[in-house]
Amino acid sequence: MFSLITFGLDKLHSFFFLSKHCVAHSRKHAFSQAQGHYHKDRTRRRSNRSGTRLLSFKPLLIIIPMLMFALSSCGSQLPRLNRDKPVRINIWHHYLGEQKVSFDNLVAEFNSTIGADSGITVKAFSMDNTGDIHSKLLASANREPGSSDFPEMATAYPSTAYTLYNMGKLIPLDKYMTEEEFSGYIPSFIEEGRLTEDSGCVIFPIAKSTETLYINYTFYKQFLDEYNRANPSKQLNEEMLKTFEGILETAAAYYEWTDAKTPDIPNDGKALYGCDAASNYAVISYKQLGSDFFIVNKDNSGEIDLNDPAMNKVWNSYVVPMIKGHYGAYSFYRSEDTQTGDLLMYTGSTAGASFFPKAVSFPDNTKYDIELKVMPYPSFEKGEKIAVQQGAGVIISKSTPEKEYASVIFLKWLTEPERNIDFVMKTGYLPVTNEAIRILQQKLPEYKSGAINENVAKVLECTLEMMESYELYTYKPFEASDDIRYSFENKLISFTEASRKEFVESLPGDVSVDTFANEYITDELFDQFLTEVRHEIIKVK
Amino acid sequence: MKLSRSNRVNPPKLNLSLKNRFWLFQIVVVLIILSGIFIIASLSGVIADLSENPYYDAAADLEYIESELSAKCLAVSNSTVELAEKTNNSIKKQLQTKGIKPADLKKHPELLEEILSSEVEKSCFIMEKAGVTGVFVFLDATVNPQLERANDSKAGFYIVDMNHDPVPYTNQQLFLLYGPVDLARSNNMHLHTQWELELDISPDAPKRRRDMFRMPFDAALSNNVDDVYYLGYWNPLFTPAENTDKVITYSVPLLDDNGYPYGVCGLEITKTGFETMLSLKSSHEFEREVLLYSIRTDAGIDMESALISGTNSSWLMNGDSKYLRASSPSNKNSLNEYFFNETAKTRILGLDMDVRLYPGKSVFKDTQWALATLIPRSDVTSKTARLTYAIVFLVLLLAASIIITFFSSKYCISPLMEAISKIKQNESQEKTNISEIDDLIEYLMARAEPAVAIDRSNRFLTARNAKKANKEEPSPDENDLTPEQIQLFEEQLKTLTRAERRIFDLYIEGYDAKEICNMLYISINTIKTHNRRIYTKMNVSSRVELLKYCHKLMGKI
Repeated sequence: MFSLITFGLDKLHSFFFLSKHCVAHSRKHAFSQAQGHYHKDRTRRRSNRSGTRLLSFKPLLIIIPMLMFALSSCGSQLPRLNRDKPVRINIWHHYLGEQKVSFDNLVAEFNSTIGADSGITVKAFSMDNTGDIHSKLLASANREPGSSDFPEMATAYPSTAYTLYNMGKLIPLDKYMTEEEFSGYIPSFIEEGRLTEDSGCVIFPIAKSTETLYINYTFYKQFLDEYNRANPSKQLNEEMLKTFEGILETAAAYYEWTDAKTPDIPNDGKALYGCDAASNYAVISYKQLGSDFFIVNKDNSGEIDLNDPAMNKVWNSYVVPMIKGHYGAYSFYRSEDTQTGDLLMYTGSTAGASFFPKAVSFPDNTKYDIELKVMPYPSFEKGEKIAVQQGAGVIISKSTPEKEYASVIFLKWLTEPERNIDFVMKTGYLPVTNEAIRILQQKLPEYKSGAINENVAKVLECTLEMMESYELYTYKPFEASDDIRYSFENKLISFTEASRKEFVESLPGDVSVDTFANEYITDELFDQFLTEVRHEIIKVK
Repeated sequence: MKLSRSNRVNPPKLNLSLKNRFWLFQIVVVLIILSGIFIIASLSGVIADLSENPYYDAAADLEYIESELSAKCLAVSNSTVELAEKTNNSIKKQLQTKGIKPADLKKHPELLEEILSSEVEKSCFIMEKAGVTGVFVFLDATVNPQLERANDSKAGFYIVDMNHDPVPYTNQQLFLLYGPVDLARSNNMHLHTQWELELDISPDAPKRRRDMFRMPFDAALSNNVDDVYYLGYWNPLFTPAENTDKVITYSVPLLDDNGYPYGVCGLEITKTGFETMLSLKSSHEFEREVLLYSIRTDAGIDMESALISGTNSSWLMNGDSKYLRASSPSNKNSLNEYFFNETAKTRILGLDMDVRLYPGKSVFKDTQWALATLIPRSDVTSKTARLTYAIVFLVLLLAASIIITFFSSKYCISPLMEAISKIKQNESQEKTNISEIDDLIEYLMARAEPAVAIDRSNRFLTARNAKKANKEEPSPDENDLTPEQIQLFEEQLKTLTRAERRIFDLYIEGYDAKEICNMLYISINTIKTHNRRIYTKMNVSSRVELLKYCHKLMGKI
């Protein structure tokens, strides 16, 4: 408010200064003109001088201040910050564990250096995950009872940002950043933040991620060796993990192998693989197979293309093995299932690198250290090499010019190569600036040797390779895209869980899984799944 | 003695010139405005704020926050005791049905998951009721006694509510930090990213993490105290697992019927939760004021365990300094000086006080917790400087006002003084452009005019006659007028209205204003108005000047 007033006073000052200047100038001019005629025409001069001379300056009196006002408004009139009266800005984020520690450390560093010098104090609040932030941001934006004040910044996915942008809650970064500054960032990350043609860049990319294949290599190698020794005619190899078809085949073998460990208990084999985001699996499967998961209409509404053949592929390559128990999902994240020994591998975000367990704990309190192997995101045999581009960026809410400006200062500081690389090396996120990528590619071996978390360095190495050979894909948000996506995912999970439960309960002890699966998993079940998905989507639309 | 009327002494009158009177009047106005500003500043508390000793604010703040903190901690300890009682009763009942004593739980690892599962719901309920962020129950037992580290591995659960603060949320977001996996899966909880099956209290584990279990457990072993309330332990800031939020915990032992401990239970409050609790209460008179809550040792306030709350606390960080020490103030009502290093110049002012956490009979009553409010010395100094600046500014403003009013009164009065001077010297030909003064001069001139007018009229007529005799004799000052001016005057005559021309003609004929009023049946004010217009149109300043032109013009004719 104070600076607004100051800003207004500055404008008024310049206006009056110019007005006074013009008036003074006109008077002076009139005076000098009059000197020559003083003796000739005192009467006329007296009656007319101010009128005639001022008349010629009148347009200037109006135009010049208006021009100055307009020009000063167009220029880079940035708000003033006062180090003695720091602006406090809150940021809601979704970082947990080591990510949270790294982010908190960076915030503390900012507050004690640049923040202290320029009068900015950032307060970070961890909100668990982006889903929760989404709900809380919407609750705050709608001023629902009990909701908190809308934060100055928050990490958010494009769909959340799209909803909030349409509610008029966000500012475009273009307000405080130049094109030259934008050009320092990876173009596709900036492009992802441009929600509509005229929205400007609404999402600041501080950390992006993709998905890779995380493997408990210690256990997998043990399985591979034992299985290949026992089955010389059906050899498995690591190359098979590059395709979903290969993973499917390995998973069937792993189930069979683990089932054979307890001959007394039939059909108690273990799952090999799981994926963290089932909807990502579907969206990327479609894209790899040359289709689009969403059909977006001209009015910006959209729906899932359930009739595309790619949906059959998703069913056969994900839902069917889930029902059969070859794939699994038991906890919230697959890294947890890997830590409990329930899974051997999973596809998950590079940002989850620090969550990959260092050991597997079994219910008898025995623990085994494990080694991580990271492989690029698998693709279908006849599909393109495409992986998801994700990672919540930061949105800035409409507030005072000082807070908006302070937020941008913080974010620009946070994504300077030094900080960006530091954050990337501790979390597994992708670097967001061209300069950071260049430095990272040059100095990765050096960074790897000094990395705090070896697993993160492995993930990063794989990711940098993927950035060269893979297309990273993200879809543009549209009306209710987020809700449709979550509805699909929830239905996919719940349908799979219910079917798996029913399958296990119905599975006779003397019948093999594959034999019973042929009876249980039918075209009718697939149609039932599609029907239920359609009903769910109608509800949210 | 009676004074006669003539002898009576009159009170002395203020003998001030017009200029000085006007100056005095302006000073009074300025003083009234300044007094108004002062009164408004006083009423709005600005003066009080600037002049108040920060000691009183800090002391009042501390006292209030300490009582709130004590009350909150008391509520947490009571909830923990309630949790201990309920857990104790429940476990005892379960074990009773199986014919096992709590002390023998170690020998029955197969029962642990079942027993723990039945405690989850009520523990979460008490956590929510107490408004804290975590709850834990650990038993002096392990699921696998065969393991080498079995003695240092404690089975139990530690549940964290990740959505507790700072944003209210309709659903709890519960994460299992320690405990059997099925506990999480059957209670719709997530596994924490740092999940572990059992709590490790081996010497390799961080001390504070061990203390969470060890301190109340060992206190129960070594003290013959039945009431768990007196065995409860507040564990200073620590991380319950790697890379988790820092928390403060309060834990009490679970005692069997013989007063022998067989486990520990407790509640946690996260650092963020505590900060929110503290910052809400602080009045924050100073922007960089911080509140610090930690344990007090002989070496000073422990900074490693310190919980620091404030909008900007970065100034307090001091590298490797582990203890904050205070020196006694020189004045009783002054803030203490704090320092990390005795040789370093102190830059911190503030106050601290003990927080009542433990009851008098507590085993841990000697553990002292301190609450401190700390302010950078520079902030206090600048506040004092602001008061000085304000006073100096007011004095300067007053002085400037006196000087300005002196010159402004002189400027405003000068035309009047000049006019008076000219009137005195009979030099009232020029306009002052101040209507009141010009009117006065006009009035005075009008009073002096009749004689002049008769004289001029005679001279006019004489001149006319002389013209007839072809003997031109111009009046002495008529020569000043140039032919161009005369020509212009002639042209301007055409611009007069009928009424103005009639009055103009009567003036030429030698009538004065009063006579014209009577002749034309108009008021003197109307005449004045016509006069002003005629003078303006003819560009003269008085009737005398007008007649001068007329005379010249008539001479020309």
